[in-house]
Amino acid sequence: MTELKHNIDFELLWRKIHSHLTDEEEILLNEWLSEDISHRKYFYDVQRYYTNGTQFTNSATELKKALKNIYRTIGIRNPYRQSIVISVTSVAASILFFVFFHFYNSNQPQLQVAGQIVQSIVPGTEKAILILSDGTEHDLTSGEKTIKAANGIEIKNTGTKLEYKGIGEQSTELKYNTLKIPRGGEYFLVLSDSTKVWLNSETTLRFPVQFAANIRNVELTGEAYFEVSKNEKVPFIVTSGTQQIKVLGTQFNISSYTENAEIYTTLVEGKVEVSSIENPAEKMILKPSEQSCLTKGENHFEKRSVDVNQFIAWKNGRFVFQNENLEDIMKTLSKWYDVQVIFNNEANKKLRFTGNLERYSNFNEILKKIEKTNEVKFSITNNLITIE
Amino acid sequence: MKVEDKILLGEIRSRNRKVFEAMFYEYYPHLIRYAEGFVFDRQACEDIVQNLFIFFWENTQYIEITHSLKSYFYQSVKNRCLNYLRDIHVHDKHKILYVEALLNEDDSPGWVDLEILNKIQEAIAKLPTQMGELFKQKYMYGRKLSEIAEINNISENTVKTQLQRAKEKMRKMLLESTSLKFFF
Repeated sequence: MTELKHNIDFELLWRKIHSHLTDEEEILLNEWLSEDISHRKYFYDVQRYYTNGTQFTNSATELKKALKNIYRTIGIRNPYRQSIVISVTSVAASILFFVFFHFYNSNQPQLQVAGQIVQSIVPGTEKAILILSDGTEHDLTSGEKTIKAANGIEIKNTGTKLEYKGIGEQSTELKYNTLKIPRGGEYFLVLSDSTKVWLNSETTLRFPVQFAANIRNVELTGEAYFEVSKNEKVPFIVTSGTQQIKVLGTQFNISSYTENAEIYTTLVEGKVEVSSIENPAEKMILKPSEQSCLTKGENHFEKRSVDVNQFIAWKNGRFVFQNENLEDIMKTLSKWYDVQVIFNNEANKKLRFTGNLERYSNFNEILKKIEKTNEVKFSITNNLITIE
Repeated sequence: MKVEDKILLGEIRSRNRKVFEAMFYEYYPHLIRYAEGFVFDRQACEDIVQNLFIFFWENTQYIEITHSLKSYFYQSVKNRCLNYLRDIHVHDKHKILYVEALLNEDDSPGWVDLEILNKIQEAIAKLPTQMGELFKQKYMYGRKLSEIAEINNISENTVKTQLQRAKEKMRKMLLESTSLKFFF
């Protein structure tokens, strides 16, 4: 299906570079950028032009070359001797493009970074391993295939998305599959009831191939964003560590990594009930834009109002940090870029940063942006990031 | 149309390659930078401007020049650039590209677009008197730096600096206005 592409007013690009955009405009711009590589290339070119000025020197060589091109087409014998020119410009240009493209959300001209980061660490990609109920493992990264699951259900894999389709015969025993996302991975899953789940790096989801008639139950470790398909008669329950969430049809994000002391649930739409498994009396209803925090071992929920975008940004291809300490920021980044982080100075862990970053940038670009604050310096050896 | 333009066009019509070449050297360096202010991509700029010269050579018999050769070239480059932008889904509703491209072009053909002329004049009125005057001569009448220097009895360098400042002020006005519509 070809989608109709949107038009953007140049004013937006201009203001993005010269002043600022409102949140709504920011969304419009990002949508437009994500629509086509030609859009991104254009924005990159505009930005470079307003920073560095013209690319044309109008040197004698440049002009002769242009005139030669014109003559070639209009069939006038080229008055200039043919010279052999190895055309490296287009290759160089395309390399430059990829290097510079990732700067596109930067408002300021690039500053010199004191310590040059040479090595390139690439962002995560769609990666996952599916474990069927009989224990067989399928690497989903290897591309398209259809896998036969239990109960006559078909599982379609596209390399980025895993989808459970068809209605199998009801059986009394539920067959469970497990989807494992490694560090540096993410994946998109559609369950048999059409519920959509975006799984972040280092995340495991265990779910039945086909749900029971009266309950939809899944188990999560790590981070995932759920868009639960509406079915008021059959509640959807996410068990995660010591927390249980009961929903009927809604959208929310759960961050429940085993190494973190807290489980965060952020509600985007609808209504959910979070409860503690160890103390079922401890429960709480969440409304949109509310976030609950369950501290493990304490069996106690806290609730606060949040800017939802910050917590679901990862699903939309961004990292949004709002006054977060560097330790937590590096924890998040290390999962996606699959790197280890060492702080040489404990005090730096507590430094707080605010920023909105491109999730598909190379890691170096992200680090450079943090370095630009002149608060910290990074050095990279293989996959080990040391914070001086 | 100016007499000299008529003669030049006549020469091109009778396939005078020397004149064509002279015209290329006269206009190409400016047009390529003008195009750059719209499309920004090197290859696209070269294609647009070179194709225009090819079109000009091949269709000289049918080309009607209403104003001057210079404005014909600038107008054509602008139209081709806007077509290119349409294909990659960029609109220039507030003519920002147009103004930026003119500001960045040393050999500006002057503002011929009446629609934005009034708005530009409003902004010029906000500039210091002499600066505004120089800006007008340069960007509205399309005069050369040397001409402006002579008319105003100041050095070319002074003209350059004044115009540079005028451009910066213009841009600053853009930034400070909450809505660009005041300017465009």
